[in-house]
Amino acid sequence: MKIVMPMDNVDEIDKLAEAGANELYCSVADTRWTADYTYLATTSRRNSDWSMLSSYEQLKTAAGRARALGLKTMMAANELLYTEDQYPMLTEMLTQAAEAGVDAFIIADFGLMLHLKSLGLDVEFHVSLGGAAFNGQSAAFYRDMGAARVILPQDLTIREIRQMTQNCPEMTFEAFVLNAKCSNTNAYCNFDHDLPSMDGTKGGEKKFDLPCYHEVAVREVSPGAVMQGGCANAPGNPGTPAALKIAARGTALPSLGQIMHADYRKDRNLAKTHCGVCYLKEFREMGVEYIKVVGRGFPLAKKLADLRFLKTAMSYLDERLSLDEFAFKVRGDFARAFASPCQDYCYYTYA
Amino acid sequence: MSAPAAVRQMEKAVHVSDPAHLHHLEAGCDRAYFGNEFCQRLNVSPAEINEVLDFIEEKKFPFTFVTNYVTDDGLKGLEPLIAAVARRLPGSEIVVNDWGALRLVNEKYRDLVPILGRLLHKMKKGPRIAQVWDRLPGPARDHFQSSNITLEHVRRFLHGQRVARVAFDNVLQGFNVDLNFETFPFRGSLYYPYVYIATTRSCLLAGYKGKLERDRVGIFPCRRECRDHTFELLNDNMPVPLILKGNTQFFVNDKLREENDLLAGGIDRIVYQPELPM
Repeated sequence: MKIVMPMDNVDEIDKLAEAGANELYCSVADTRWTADYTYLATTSRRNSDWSMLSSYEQLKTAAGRARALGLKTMMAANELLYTEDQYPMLTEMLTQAAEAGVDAFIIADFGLMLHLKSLGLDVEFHVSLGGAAFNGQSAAFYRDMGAARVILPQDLTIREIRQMTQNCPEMTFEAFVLNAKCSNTNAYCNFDHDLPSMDGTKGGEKKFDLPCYHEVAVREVSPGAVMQGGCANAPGNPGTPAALKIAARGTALPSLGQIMHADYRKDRNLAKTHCGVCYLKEFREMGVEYIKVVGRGFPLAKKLADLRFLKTAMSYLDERLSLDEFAFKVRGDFARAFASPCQDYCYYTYA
Repeated sequence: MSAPAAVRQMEKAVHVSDPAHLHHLEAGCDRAYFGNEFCQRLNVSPAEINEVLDFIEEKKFPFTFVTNYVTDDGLKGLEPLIAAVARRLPGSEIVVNDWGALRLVNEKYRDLVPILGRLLHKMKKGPRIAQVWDRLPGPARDHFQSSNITLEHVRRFLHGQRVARVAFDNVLQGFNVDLNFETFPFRGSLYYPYVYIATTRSCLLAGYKGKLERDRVGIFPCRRECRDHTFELLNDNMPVPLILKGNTQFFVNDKLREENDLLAGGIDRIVYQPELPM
């Protein structure tokens, strides 16, 4: 079982390797791209420069250093959709990344997967959780397209993951086990990801923060009332959205998403870390070979704390422990590592 | 827009996802859509699909069966429904929102004609994009009004999967896609008036007891509580109210482009949803 860690700059690589990372994934900022598409539609669903490498030159250095340390490097090109006008620049970026020495691309858009194959680059691709492989047939669909690995959606149960691995045993799987878990199904969330950082700077306009962090007033209505509401506050016809105005509505209440999306960056609290580490034993048994930590843009100290916690948990895998005993030990470690019990932030909560 | 609008007519389909809403079809339509896009737990039983098909047969509607994204268990439950449609109404369409479901249909149910549903035919749909429209560069605007269907290699692949129709949402920023391609042509279906934005398997309505419990997030058993409750989520920064129905967030956009304009761009079907499609 191998650990896949986020990496935001070259200086992190030695420390991540030393702490036990086996693979690194990253994004690359491209000023030409963001000039045209802003940070609302980057190539990697990251909305800030500090969570991306700054150039392909840096990527080359990073991939070289990682390889020297025995680590693989993946580049995320995991936006859910790329449109035709983006392809010339996208092709150039993929080619540069391949030349820089990345081992794999993480891709959500099936169009880009097809395109990558046609480019003939000697780089494999992994299906992002944005690719929505929820069952063995969809994993087989991606296998037919040439995918080397499927990254499992964050909202499958352990039982469902087991079924997938059984129904597509020839596929390699990767599962998220630590940090932010989306409240919506990642692949099927079509919200603008983050509006504050159209220019990639920190601390944008608060009102354009992630939609799932928004405070919303919740009011139960009849379906009929929904229709009557219609687009009352959207006077512009489609195609003329500039006519739209923000309308004052209701009293703000604590948001649903703010609690659900208990993200480290949001809460600045290591305890509020989604975790699925107590299922490592089951993952290993069912053949999930890679476990992944969320955290492009997270501080190195957090990444290293995550690695220490993970490596400790992995050290229990060969002990004669039942699933419950394993989970008990891991939960104890979680509480010590992050100064809080974990049960409110489980990746794989289900009943 | 290049196609001569006069040679085509807009097909008016009605979509319901609950057998209790079949009465909406009584008033007549050019085509009946039935099925759920967002939650496998809302799929009907084999007995119920046969009742639905009885109704469709009696009314002689052309039929489109709508399916959702599914786990392996979900797919196992869905397959008998697909089989029933294929057996009783061969030649019908099936809207797929899961690549595994598409693979299954192409392997075993080639009497059905697959359509790419609005979960798989992606566009950004968050209504907040409209708030920054004036600040976006031209290429970004073009991006948000388009999809990957204009790419020839995408269309070639989808034709290879027997898909030649895609579903569109009536997004607030509008879409600017002309489907009259010289190679691998496509047709489009426009869903109206409910625009789906996001869905989740961590449904807040599962086990709902009169209050949305924000701290209880996971995949829990449900008794289809979503069928009885609808919520508005209001925020000053959203130009329109968000609607939470079960595991899915929508907004209403009841303003359609001119029919001739839609037809000229290859959208030759309106999929009217008289109820929130849950």
